[in-house]
Amino acid sequence: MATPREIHRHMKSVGNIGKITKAMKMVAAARLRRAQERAAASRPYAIKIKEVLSNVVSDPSVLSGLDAKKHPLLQKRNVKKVGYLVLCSDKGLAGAYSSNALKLALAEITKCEDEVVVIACGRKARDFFSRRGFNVISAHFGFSDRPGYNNAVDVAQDAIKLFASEKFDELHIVYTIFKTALSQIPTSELILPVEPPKSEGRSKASFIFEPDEDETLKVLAPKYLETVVYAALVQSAASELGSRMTAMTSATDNAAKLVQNLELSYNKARQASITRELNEIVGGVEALKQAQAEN
Amino acid sequence: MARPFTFEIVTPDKMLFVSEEVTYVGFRALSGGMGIEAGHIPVIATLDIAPLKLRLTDGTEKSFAVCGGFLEMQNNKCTVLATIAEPGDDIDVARANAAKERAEARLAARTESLDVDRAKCALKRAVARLRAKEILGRK
Repeated sequence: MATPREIHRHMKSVGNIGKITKAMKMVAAARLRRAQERAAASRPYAIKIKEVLSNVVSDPSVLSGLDAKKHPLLQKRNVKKVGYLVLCSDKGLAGAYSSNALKLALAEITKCEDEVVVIACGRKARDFFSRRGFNVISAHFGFSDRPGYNNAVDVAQDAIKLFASEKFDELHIVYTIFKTALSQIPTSELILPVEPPKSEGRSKASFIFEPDEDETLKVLAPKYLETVVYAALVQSAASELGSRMTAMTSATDNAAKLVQNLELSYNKARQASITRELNEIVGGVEALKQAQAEN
Repeated sequence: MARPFTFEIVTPDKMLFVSEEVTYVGFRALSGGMGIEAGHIPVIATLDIAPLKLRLTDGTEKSFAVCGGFLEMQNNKCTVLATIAEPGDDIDVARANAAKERAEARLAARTESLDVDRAKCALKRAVARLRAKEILGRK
């Protein structure tokens, strides 16, 4: 059995780890709130851009009259190579967040029969896919838990460039939708070529376009892609923080429980050693007495 | 008196500006300068990097430096979607001037590695900011 001193040392180290995980939990909770606010703040823009895009393409003649060469982002090509843009965290200690997203991505990729290339977003994604020998053509990281719109622009522009240079013929995004701090759902969506949203037939107003539909669509398509990527980044960031918060909460609870158990065995060990010492003293006195009596 | 209409500027991070008291919006689309008053027919305009001017019912004027984006006017509601938009009051003239000079110097030097489009955009942004500030100073 461990000596009281060893148990005491163990207790202290577990207690310290508990303090760290508790601090990480608090940080994650505070940042989660901010991330949720950001997600809410980004929604009006995303909705509006979608609306404008659907307004532009609501006139069927616009889409059919499009010159495919002018709008490479909308152009459907024969799919020979498939790209996957995988979003996950830079750092660990976020429970199963990263591994869930990566598992889904891996499942999708194995299902896919065409050649696959990967754009990794987050260190974990890059490490995961390059270790498994996938073709990681581009990697972005350093912002997984606090993405700004400029990060989304970088990722989207990179994707557009790679799409234009035919590194892939369609691009799927794998990210994690934030439901609550306890439940996050990894999902996969097709984002390139851009699929214009169906207009809900609500706005039948025929718009004048300045300068014209073609020009508008040319500017709008990449902007739309940026907002889609931004929404995914923001959702993923909230998921990461939520997952980290949950993981750190249970780690803190476990540490507290462990300390309790250790304290019990520490007290037992201490008691046992005291009892043993007493026994030895009493035994010693008895032996002395006996020796004196015999003399 | 000109009738007011609803006007809003939305950026990816937040609703930058909302007002029900706008009577006139002046801006520059890719095809040239435009102005909108209440009752304008539905329009979707692609914006240039340029200042955008508002006139309110009380006669005051506001300006924003808008770096590209879209303007949609529909049912007397005007929405500007811009990745970057700054109110004229917040613009740091010294910084915009410095950016302008930097961009001009880069365009003048024309080194091999120069990204001409980027430098031109930077110049346009700086000029838009300065103009937005000027509009405020004029009244």
